[in-house]
Amino acid sequence: MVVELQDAPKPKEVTVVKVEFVPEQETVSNPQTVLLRVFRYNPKAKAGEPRMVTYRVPMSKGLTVLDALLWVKENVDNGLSFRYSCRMGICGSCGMLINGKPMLGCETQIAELGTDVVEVGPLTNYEVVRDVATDFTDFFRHHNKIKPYLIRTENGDGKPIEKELLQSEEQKLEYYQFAMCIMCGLCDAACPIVGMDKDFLGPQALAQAYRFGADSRDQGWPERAEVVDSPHGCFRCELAGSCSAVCPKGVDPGMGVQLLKRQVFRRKIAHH
Amino acid sequence: MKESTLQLINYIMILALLVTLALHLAMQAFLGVNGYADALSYQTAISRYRDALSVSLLTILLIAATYHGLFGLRNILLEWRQGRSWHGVVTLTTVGLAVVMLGWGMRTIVLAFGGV
Repeated sequence: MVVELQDAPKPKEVTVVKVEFVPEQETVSNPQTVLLRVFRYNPKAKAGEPRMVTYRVPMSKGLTVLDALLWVKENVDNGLSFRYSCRMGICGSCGMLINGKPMLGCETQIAELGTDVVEVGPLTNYEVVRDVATDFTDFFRHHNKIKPYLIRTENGDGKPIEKELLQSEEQKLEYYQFAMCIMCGLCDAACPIVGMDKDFLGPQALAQAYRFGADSRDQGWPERAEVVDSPHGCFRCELAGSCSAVCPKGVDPGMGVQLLKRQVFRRKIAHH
Repeated sequence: MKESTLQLINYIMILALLVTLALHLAMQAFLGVNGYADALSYQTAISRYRDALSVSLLTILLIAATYHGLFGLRNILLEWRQGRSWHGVVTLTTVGLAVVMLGWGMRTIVLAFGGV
């Protein structure tokens, strides 16, 4: 399923300042360069208005959007801010809006985008810290709310776990794909409900609530149910499915939320 | 009330709506005394309100439609704005609207059934 996110809220477009870096006097149509249009904004600067700045970046085989941003930072404008770490799709730090769609900068090759101009901006539904870097405070607050760890009575009693907690293959497969989440936050950036309701836990946190709730070793359902069965919990999800369309790791958080709803109903009925 | 309970009731109401609405439309179109042509005549409409089965169907339809519609409205309003006081205002408003809609609808059904 492919969900186009062209209608997703975009950063304010104001003055377009063209700051081109032309290494060898190349033209736009030159296949050896690519134009990178980057959102620039410093909320703390008094005169700092959001603007799009265009850079010309030399093209090379396998060049990713993150590589291009790093090239700009090293060669043109060292004030450009963005977040990254591993450069290989594991840490989930370099989530950004690429041509209007939430993607990982390190996993997105410019050649595969098929556009002459690549537009890069901060993730939607997050506050901008500076330029492309966004504030993940709410994201991690929501993630912590669902208690993203195995809860067992031994933890509360302070007693050591004296035996291995074995699982069958079937038990592991109940939650396995959701354990692949790298917390890049792209799903929350694509979610229309997160955009409307800042208290909504979001697809990432809710899918993780399912992941731990479905784990046969976990005993923390009553604590977690209080959070997910709340006015800003899983029943706020309206099945837009855009979270699943943008996940770079093939996780289906949309399905996770629906499985969580089923889990809530099943345990509620079983409880009564 | 927990969100899951409200949602569960909503699912039940959706099922009730599907059945009662289908039966209601079928009664209008196919099961009328003189078929569809006569379905909307005054006598046919009044006769439905005098029939116990038809009245039960209309009552269930009224309750299900009211709950389903107002539950949807509540969700839209809670997405639109957040906060404890807003939550309270929305809940009170939707409950108030439900009382008015059910009261008015039941009044019509009961009075027509009683022959007034």
